[in-house]
Amino acid sequence: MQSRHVLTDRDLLLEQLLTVRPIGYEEYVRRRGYTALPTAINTLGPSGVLEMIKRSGLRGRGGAGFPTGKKWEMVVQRKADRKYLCCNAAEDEPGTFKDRYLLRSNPHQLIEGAILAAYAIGAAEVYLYINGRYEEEIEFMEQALQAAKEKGHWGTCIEGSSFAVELKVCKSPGTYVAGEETALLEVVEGRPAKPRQKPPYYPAVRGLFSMPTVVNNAETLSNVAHIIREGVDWFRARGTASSPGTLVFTLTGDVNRPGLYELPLGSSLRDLIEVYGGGIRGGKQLKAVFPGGPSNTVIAAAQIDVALDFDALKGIGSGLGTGAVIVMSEEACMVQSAIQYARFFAKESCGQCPPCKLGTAHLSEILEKIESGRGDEKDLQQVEQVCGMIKGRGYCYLLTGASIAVESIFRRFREEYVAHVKQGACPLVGAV
Amino acid sequence: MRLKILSDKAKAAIEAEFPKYPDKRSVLLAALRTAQDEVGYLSEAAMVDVAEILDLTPVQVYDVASFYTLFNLKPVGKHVIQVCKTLSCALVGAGGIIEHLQGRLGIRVGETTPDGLFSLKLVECLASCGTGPMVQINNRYYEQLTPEKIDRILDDLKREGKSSLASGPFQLPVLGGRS
Ligand code: FES
Repeated sequence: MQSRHVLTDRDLLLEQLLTVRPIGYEEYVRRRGYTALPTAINTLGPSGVLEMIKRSGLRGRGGAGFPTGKKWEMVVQRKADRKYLCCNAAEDEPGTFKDRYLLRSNPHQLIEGAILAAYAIGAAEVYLYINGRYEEEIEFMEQALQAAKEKGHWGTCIEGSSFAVELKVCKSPGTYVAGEETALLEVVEGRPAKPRQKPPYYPAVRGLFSMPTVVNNAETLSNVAHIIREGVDWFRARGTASSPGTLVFTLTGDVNRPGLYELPLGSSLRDLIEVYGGGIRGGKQLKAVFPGGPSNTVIAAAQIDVALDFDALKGIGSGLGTGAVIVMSEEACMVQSAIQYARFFAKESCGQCPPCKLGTAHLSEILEKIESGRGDEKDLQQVEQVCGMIKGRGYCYLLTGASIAVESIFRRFREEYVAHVKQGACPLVGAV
Repeated sequence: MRLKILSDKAKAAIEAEFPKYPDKRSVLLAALRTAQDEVGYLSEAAMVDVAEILDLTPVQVYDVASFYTLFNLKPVGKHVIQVCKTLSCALVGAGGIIEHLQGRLGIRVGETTPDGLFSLKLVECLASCGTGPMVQINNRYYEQLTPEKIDRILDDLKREGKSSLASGPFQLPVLGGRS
């Protein structure tokens, strides 16, 4: 049996993160780190690296699950003076904290992956876009970058070749929308984090400083060096045929052992919650799970045998997102959780698209009215109406994400909403 | 032109970012962080200085500064308490923590205590979702909070300006699971 840990050394309860110290340069090299780079430059060439990533079936870990090789290829095919790579470690999605852990525990695997990606797509500059609140992690990253540069892994004449690349850290402002890939480009250019209209502003076509740009998630890039070093078959030995590899899941909410678990894609949600997470806190019953952060539908307790991979979750109308799994017990009020999401999106809206700013605020108002027991039949109808109205609008996915999440909670747990209206109060208040 | 409020050191720190980008404008967010760290908040004078250093207009600077909650355009307390109110934290009691803080400090969210010591803000997810409820006070995290723990933290901050209950980012001061 192969170990299921590729990116992490072991599973961690949050409490144990105290003991995590970054793997330093020597230790990374001892683990055969920085051997993928000479192989790439001396044997594979940029097209060979691209070919391997395409064959590996690696899919983006930032939420959408888009094939990484395809994303790279789109930029490779464009003619331009300059091309850019951005590594997205902005991580502002509720329930996720794995980029932070990956940065903290193994900065060099990310650095080597980023250099390989830049080599494959022909980028001479890489921006490591990291959540600005991660002060310690940014410090570790700067130290690791320095060490890697001193050893000649980046800069000029890498591995004695003519390949040159610069890596630089750029701090994200720590707001949700600043992690959206075109908003990220705006931030790096020194502007408000407002997503760009697509078309025409696809990053691969007109990205950073109007040049073709690849934006890859930190976890995606952390996989790259392993794939080049160990091979495509090795990578495909974990996970499923259409979602190969592992994913770092962050498990939170009403479980006994919230934490960070790296599992092969395709593992069952039940295992994650019961075996790894130790079941529901306080011996309570499971009520609902958000399997993929705030932009995907909620799933009910009866569905927890679903496989955790991009396609299986899509098959039941939900999504894997970034693997932020939030668990709710029978004591959680589903009107409250919808309010949480609606408020979150209302607050995080960048404000440039009116349906977003107004729609999400309106949605939280109606939901709050229902929660307080002042709601009526008309309010119940309005929830769905507003969700339907805002879906698919706006320049970015934020609004659609908000409506998908809230609408799914409402549809799946409609009786709870009706109970709020009938009883004129939240039936779960005082239940604890 | 002479700078109004920023020191030469701050100016040098901002200029040190120039080589990272093809234009000066890209340095704006980093420059505003530097200015806020030095002045405590982004006063008009600080924004004019940043504009001067980056060859931008003050309006361009203001546009960005006012967009991000990260930047304070008004003076804030010595200790800025940011409470995470997002779902994972709300499930484990962020609401009670917010109420307790308002009661103890005698202020509402968005306000600063009259002695200028504490400001209270609500924020979204700070990536400590498994160890909520949590707050960030200036640049330190405090996790697995209870009302008692909050009281001790506030007392510590009042008395010594810092508290041993801080968890360096991602480092809990006390090991052991949540009950
Ligand atoms: S939900 Fe509070 S830190 Fe993530």
